[in-house]
Amino acid sequence: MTPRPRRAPHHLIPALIALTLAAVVVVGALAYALHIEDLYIHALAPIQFPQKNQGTALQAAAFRQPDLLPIYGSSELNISDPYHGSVIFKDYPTGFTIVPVGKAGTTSLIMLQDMAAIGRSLRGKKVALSLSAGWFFGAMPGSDSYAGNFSALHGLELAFSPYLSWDLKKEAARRMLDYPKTLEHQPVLHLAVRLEATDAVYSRPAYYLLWPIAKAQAFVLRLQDHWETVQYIHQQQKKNLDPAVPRAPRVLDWDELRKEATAEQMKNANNNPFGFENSRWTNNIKPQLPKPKSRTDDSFLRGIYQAKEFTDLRLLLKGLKEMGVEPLVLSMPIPGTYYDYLGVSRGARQAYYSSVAEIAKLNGVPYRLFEDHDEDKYFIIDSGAHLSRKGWVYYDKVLDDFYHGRLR
Amino acid sequence: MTRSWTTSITAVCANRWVRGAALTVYYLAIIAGLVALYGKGDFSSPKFIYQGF
Repeated sequence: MTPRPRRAPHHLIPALIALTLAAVVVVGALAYALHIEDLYIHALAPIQFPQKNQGTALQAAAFRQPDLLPIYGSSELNISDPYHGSVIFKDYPTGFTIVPVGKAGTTSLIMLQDMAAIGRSLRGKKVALSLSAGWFFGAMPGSDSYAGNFSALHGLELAFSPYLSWDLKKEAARRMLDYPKTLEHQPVLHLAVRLEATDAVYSRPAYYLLWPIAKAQAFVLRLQDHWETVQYIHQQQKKNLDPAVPRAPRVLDWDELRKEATAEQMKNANNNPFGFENSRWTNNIKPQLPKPKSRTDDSFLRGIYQAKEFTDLRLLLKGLKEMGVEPLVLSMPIPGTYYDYLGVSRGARQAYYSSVAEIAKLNGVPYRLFEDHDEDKYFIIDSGAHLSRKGWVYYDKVLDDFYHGRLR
Repeated sequence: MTRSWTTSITAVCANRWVRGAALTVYYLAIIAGLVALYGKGDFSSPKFIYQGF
C-alpha cells in the first residue's frame, strides 16, 4: 500500500478567519470612535485644532447634532474676541452654538473639499460660510495658503463624491490642478483629477476603474482620521475636558450687545485714523503702511475680474446645492476707510459686493455682506479684514436668525 | 529529551485544528504588523506664515 501524500496545510480558511476578526475589530473600533466623537463634540465645538480642519470625523459629528451650527471660514474664526460666536453662544442661550471650522488661508475650494468629504450627513443641514473679501482681490489665493489647508482625504472625497455631478467635479478638478504641489505625493488623486479635468473619451472609464482603489485609500484615511481624533479626545480627557456642556437659556439683547461691543472697540482702536485695533496697527500695519493713493480703481478691478475665487465660490454653492445643504453666505466688509486712503473708491469696491451677491442669488442662497458697514471704522480690526467686537455681534445676530429660520 | 520534545510538537502540529489556529494567529500578526507600519495617518499640512494684514 502506497502512503498517502502529505497534504499542504490549508491557508485559505485561517486567512479568511483572520480577515473576519480584523474586520470585526475595525467595525467595533469605528463604533467606539463615532460614540466618543458624538459624546464630546459639544465640548470640542469652540476649540480649534488641526485635526478638526484636516479630518472629517468631527465636522461630520457636528452636522449630526441638531443644536450645532458649523461655520466655515478662515483666520477671523481663530482670533479670540469677547464677542466671538463661540463666546456669545457658549452656553446655548438661544438653543445652539457654532462650530468654527477653518484657519488662515482657507478659501472656497478648501470648504468645498471639506464638505464633499462629509457627504450624506450634510443633507438638509444648515451651514454658514464666512468669506474674506481679500480672497477676491487677485488672480488666485497663494499656493502656500492652499497647501497649508489641503487635506488628501478631503481632496479624494471630492474627486470621488457620489453626491456631486461630473461637471462640478470636472471644474473642481481643473482648479485643484492649479496647485500641483499638493498632488505630488497623491498618485491616485492626481490621476483622478487629471482624468476628470480632461474631455478625452477614455477619461470616464479610466476614472471608474480607479474608483475601487480610491475608495479603499479614502477608507484607510478615514480610519486614520478617527484614530487621530480619538487620541486627541483622550488627551483632552486627561486635561479634564467635560462632555457635559452647561446650558443657560435666555434672551439675548442684541441692541445692548451692539452698544457694548462698539464702545469697547472704539476704546481699543484710537491710535490710528482707520479704526484698526491699536495693537494690530502698531505691530503689523503701521510698519508697512503703503503710501496714500498707491493703488487705483483700475488695478483693484483688474484683480477682481481675474479672481478665480469667484469660480470657486460658484462651485462651492453649486456643490452644496447638489448635496442638499442649506448654506448662508456671510462676508466681512472691506475696510473702506483704509481702501479710500489707498486710492480705491467705494464705487470700485462695490464690484466685490455685487459679484458675490449675484453668485449667491443665482444659487438661491441667502447672504449678508455687510456692505453698509464698508466705511464703518469699527467693524474690522485690520487691513486683512478680521472682525472686530462690533463686527462679531452683527455676525452673531445673523447666525442666530439663520439657525432659527428668521433670516429673509 | 530533545527527541521527545520534537515528537510532541510534531504530534500537536499534526492536529488540523491546532494548525488552523496557528495559521490564523500568523495572519492576524501580519495584519497587525501592517497596521503598525502604515496605520498612523499624517494629516499635517505645510506651515505658512499668515501675512494678510
